[in-house]
Amino acid sequence: MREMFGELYERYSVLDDSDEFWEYLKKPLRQSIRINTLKAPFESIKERLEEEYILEPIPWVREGFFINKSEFSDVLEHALGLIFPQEAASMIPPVVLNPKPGELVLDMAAAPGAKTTQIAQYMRNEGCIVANDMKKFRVNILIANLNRFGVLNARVTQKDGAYFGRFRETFDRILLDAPCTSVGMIRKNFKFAKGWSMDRVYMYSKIQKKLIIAAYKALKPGGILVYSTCTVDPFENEEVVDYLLRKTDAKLEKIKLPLKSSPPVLEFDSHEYSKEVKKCLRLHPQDNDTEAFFVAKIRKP
Amino acid sequence: MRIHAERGIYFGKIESDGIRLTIEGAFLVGPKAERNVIELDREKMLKWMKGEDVPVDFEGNAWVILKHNMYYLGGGKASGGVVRNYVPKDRRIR
Repeated sequence: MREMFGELYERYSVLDDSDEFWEYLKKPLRQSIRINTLKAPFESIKERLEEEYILEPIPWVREGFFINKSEFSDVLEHALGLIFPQEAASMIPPVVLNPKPGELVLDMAAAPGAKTTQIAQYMRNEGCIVANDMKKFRVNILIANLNRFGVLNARVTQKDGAYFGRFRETFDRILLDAPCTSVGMIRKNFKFAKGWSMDRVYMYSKIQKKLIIAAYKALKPGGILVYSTCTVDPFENEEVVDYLLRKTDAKLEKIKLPLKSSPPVLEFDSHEYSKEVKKCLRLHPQDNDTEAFFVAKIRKP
Repeated sequence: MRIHAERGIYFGKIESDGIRLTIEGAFLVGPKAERNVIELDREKMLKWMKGEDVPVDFEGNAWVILKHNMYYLGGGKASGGVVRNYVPKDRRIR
């Protein structure tokens, strides 16, 4: 493992000393999909899929299923925009965000749009989602996906997420699924292990702190901000949330979902964090056989 | 908010003699349409989604919506008992 993962092993074997962590990190992901209820009834799509495939419900998302199919170019429901191939753990942030029809929602780093379409689904296409991404080519993919999945209540913007800080107390709910070192995605593509470095951890941590402050400014009092990443580094997770708690009056809420999780980190690499971060959800790959993920639910008083 | 924002979805294309609906347009209009909706059987639906023209039991020339059960498959021009295929390449099944 040490040879395979190098410096990354040195850092994260302190975080999780189990063999399972590393075994699962190199094991391919189970394929999963989310049924899109914006275009056709849930039951009719599910029944049709079950004629050909085996669906295993994902316990924490009603519309999510593991499926015994990994290539979707011959799947009718995929062509019609009725299913979205989406990793099971990445379905968690919109569930925690729990947006309601009619609300104003900001998805700060939206592309490619799996979570945005899931948010639109929970809003039943009513209200408005501002779906933002910084990069033009990613914005184009986002627009194509919103179109294909029948999302009618989104407006797409191309801005640095920090830009939204100027819209003070505007949004009912905000999802900040932040850019990160994507250690959780090593299961999908080993390039994330090869591209990993401490410099990148520091770089992303800095960006994430900037974004979470901007997101919090743009949140209405009483509103919910969900912060998530697909990585395990405490500098990109607990530290970012701890930073927000120290700088603002933000409050954390406990996330209750039917899944296993790993304890949030209170001390790492000589950095210490508020005990409040225990309310965050930290998923290691072996917990539920998914990507590694981190989710925090924040309320503005 | 005064920033440039993309909105709307690709609903259809206005032709000289009617409107050709996209798959998304057909999903929106289809359930409300009373005429010119053609139900395909499973075999014809798969042909259509592979990009082929399909023979239909339909008289006259018209822009039609194709469907199969609860699934809407986009629009096409029915003419001489055949609907010409307009499913874009990136939406076809193999």
